[in-house]
Amino acid sequence: MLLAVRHSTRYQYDEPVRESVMELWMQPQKRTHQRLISFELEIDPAAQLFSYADTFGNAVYHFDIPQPHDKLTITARSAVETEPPPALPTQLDRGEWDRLKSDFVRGEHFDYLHPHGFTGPTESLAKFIAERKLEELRVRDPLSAMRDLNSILYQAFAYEAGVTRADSPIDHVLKARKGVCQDFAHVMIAICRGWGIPARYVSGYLFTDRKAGDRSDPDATHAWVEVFLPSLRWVGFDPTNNILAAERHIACAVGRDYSDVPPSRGVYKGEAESELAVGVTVRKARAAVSEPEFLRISQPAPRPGQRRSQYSGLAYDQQRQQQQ
Amino acid sequence: MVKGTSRVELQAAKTEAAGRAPVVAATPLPYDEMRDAAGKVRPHYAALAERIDTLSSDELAERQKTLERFFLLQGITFTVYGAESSTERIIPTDLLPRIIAAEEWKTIDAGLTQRLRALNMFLADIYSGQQILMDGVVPRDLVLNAPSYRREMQNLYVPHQAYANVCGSDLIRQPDGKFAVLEDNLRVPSGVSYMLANREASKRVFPGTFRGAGVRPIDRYPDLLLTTLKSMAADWRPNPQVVVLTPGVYNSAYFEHAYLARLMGVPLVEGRDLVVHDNMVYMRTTTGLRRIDIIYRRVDDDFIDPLTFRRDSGLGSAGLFNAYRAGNVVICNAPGTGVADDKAVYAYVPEIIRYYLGEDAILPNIETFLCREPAQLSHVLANLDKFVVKAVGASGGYGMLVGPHSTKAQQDEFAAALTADPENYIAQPTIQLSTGPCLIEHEIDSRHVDLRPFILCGEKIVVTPGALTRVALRKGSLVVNSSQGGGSKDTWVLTDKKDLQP
Amino acid sequence: MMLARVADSLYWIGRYVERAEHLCRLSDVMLTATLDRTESATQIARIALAAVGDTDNAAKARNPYEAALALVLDREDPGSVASSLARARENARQVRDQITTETWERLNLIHLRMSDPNDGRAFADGSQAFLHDTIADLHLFKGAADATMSHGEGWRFLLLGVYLERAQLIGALLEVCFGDRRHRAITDHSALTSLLRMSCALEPYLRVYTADMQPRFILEFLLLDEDFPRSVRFCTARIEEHLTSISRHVEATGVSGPDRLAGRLRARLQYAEIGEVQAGGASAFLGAVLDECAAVHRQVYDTFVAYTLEQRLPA
Repeated sequence: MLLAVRHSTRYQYDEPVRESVMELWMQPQKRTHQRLISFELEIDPAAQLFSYADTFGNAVYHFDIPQPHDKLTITARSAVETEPPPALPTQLDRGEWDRLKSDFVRGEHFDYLHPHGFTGPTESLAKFIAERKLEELRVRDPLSAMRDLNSILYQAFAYEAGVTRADSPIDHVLKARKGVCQDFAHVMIAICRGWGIPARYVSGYLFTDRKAGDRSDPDATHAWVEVFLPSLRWVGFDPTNNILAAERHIACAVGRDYSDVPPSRGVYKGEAESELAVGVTVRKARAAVSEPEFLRISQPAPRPGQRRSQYSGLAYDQQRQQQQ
Repeated sequence: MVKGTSRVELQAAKTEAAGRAPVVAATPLPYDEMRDAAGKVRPHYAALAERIDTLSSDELAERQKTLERFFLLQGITFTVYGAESSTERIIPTDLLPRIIAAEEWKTIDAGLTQRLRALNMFLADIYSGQQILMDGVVPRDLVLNAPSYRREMQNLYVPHQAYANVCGSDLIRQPDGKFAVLEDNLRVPSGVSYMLANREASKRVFPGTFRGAGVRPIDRYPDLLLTTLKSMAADWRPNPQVVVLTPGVYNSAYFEHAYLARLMGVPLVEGRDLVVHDNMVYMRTTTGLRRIDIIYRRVDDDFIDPLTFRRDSGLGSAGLFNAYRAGNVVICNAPGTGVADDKAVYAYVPEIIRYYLGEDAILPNIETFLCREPAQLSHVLANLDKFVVKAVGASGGYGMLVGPHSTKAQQDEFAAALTADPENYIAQPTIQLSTGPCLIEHEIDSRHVDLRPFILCGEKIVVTPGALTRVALRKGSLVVNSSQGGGSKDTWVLTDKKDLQP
Repeated sequence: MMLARVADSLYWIGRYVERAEHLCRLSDVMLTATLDRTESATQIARIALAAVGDTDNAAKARNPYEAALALVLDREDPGSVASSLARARENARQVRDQITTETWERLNLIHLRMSDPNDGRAFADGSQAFLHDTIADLHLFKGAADATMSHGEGWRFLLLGVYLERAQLIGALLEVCFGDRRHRAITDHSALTSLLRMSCALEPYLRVYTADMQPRFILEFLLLDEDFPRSVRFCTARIEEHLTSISRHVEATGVSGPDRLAGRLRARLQYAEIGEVQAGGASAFLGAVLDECAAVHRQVYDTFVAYTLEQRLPA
């Protein structure tokens, strides 16, 4: 499936700020069943882009904007070709549980087996597990257990934006019984890790198909879960939509939880409130892009007349001293 | 002020014999630095002992005053904060130097060099291939789950594999006269300014004895530190700009930061002086931005970069770590060194030395029980009244049980905590520190002392032949922490007679 | 080359120290006047309070003793002597490694006396002795700085602060006494003497103009005298001197540096003539001078301290 993604992010500040420094986890991964055809980042005000690979292997872009600005827009455009992963067996043998306990798995996937941030065990999680009798799933093989867990989570929570926030602990969604994709992913990860199954948070996009029963917001970024089963390697589950991650899913970054791979993260200097607006469109590209895989970074020319009064950004320094 | 190594755990243990032999033998008398068991003055103390005998108590008191005036004039103070106002005080400083014989220092020097070499190899390993974890020498979760383990450091290039460039190890002398390591400080060890200032002062107070004794000089420390820092710079930056990064004037060690910056002749910067632009680090000077190559930071990992570490930090500079990752600036000590001085990792240091160097540790550890190991846990639980139990993550004396001084209720409380979360605790037997002569209320009396030498590691490892000797000024106390009635004194490391110029 | 923050701290030490000294002197003169004649005492208190911008109290002319007490010791008031000295010392602590021990000790000592819980009583017991000692100590501080600090960039920033602050303080005092808003010229001999005392100018004035107290002469002396260290002209000459030296090191950045403004300001005073000043109205002249002082301050800030990064980024 050939998909084109446009992901725009706009930070609006009520006072001009300066020395913005920002990191982005926005580039679709190059991985099995997912080919990155093109990726462009446009930053306004213009800035020099740098990149590095983080500890989980994600491509991170970063930049800084020293001069005062009251708006920061990031537009990421990418074209990705995906193919459906091979069909999974209906079930695995129960010996898979023992293979999960091997030193190799436990060593290799250490970070995805331990609580981190919001994916730790909590009292409400224990209550939820008891209430839904989730422990009984472990009688079956890990793959079947995961399939069932995926459906149970789908049924247990309603999809509703605005109930939880990007930095909400799982207790919020467990209490409200509604939330968005990242909440469901965090809950699933916490349960998997508790069972000794390596599980990681995947941030990316979904080509939403309402007819297929997708309930996630098509105008937002998406998040789901990948679990490691030794016989199958990483398998993606999407508890938001009760499906396996497949060719409509575009993975950008993986991490222990949301906080490892937010689409954008930054700090700035200045006494201002910021307002964030995000828009995502994923559409089917009409024609296959024939160019070989490449990466392009474009920068708009700086627009004249954008610079703010040079005094406004200095509030921070001047507050320290009495003024004349 | 000296980094808050709490020493409450060293409160003198009641002499008690029971349990497993190496743990709780009958507590022997502490080692006396000046006199042997028969009460005879040890040879390396002879000159000082003679000199003291010729001085009346008034003369000694006069010298003590000279010493204190020196500190006050130099402004060698730390700040004590009260509710309304803050006052600056000098660190109590003792007149009489602590003397270490040349032969003993050789062992310490070799032991510390070996230890820091192994610890830096350990850091290089756990931040790359993690061979030592795969080989099961150190438990994986002990390292990877430690809050001081920084995943951001994985696979980064660190010149000379020198992660910890400045190390201040705490040594104690056990009753049998052997030195042992109590703690490795690899994050932002402090106290070196007191070592230097104590030396300046004692040269004034005992000039004759000092000259005669053949004390090894330490005044090259600032220049060795600068050389060490510069050796971390990339080859294509021949004249690297070095700065000292301080949290600011409210930090209790601010004096030391300013002192080292002044002696090295480099700027003392705060986070707000720094600007990161296009992956380079600059400081704001009156003549514009000036590029920085090396940051000797005296700010904890958590606070150096709000983008990468703690978001609410105002002490560092956003983007600093990315510049470091790109190799455009060097941060000394490297972030993430704290994992190697973790209380639980400490127990494995002898193993770590054997693993990387194939040698036995020259300086032993204090025996440490890891409650994460079921067998050791049950031993600790059975002998709670004799152990000092510490929480691994906590510092500054929180989450600690001093067995011999605890009530039954406290022990029960800890027994429950240990059982619930054994991974979070270690236990050590109570240890006697050695004693040395001090001038207390115009009289000479014995007080407990420890030893903090400073080791530098860049292209090569250098142990400064001197140390900060901390003194527990209250009689019988084993607490040498400056915030709890501790003081310091000069430490004379003697030259080997063979090396002396005739 | 020095850190912008360090330069900033040194500059503010200079400003705060100068401000503290001026306020002490105003308080001292105000209290001395009350000893003599009550009528002019009220006028003098009004002048002093108006000169520090305390117009409310100037209008009400409350008890000069209380006004002086507040001016000196009120820690709630950021403009008081105690607050100014606390800030000066705080800045000095931040750059302790840049100033000499002798200089630091002076400032530390004054601060300690001011923050002594018994300072209220010391002030009550002998307010004039207290003020006199403080002024003398501040002179010692400046003397120590001059005699022990290297006369490099840091020292120049310190003095830049002193002279800029002084020019503005004296300018404000002159505006109160000779400005257009004053309906009746001050003719009272005692008030004129006090005005000179507030500027520490009585003795130097007498030497130049003899005991002939003429408002015109006083204005001329405090504004245009070449050699008197508290005349506005003298201050602007020093400001230009220090800024020229400091600016030598700054790469040309396209913006007009503060040294150009300072040069123009100095020339304005150097070539002024008292007759012309009075013909055009003293307020117009003083207003222009004060505005330019403020502009120099802003330019100093923008050029050396809080410059916008985009102008200084490496190419």
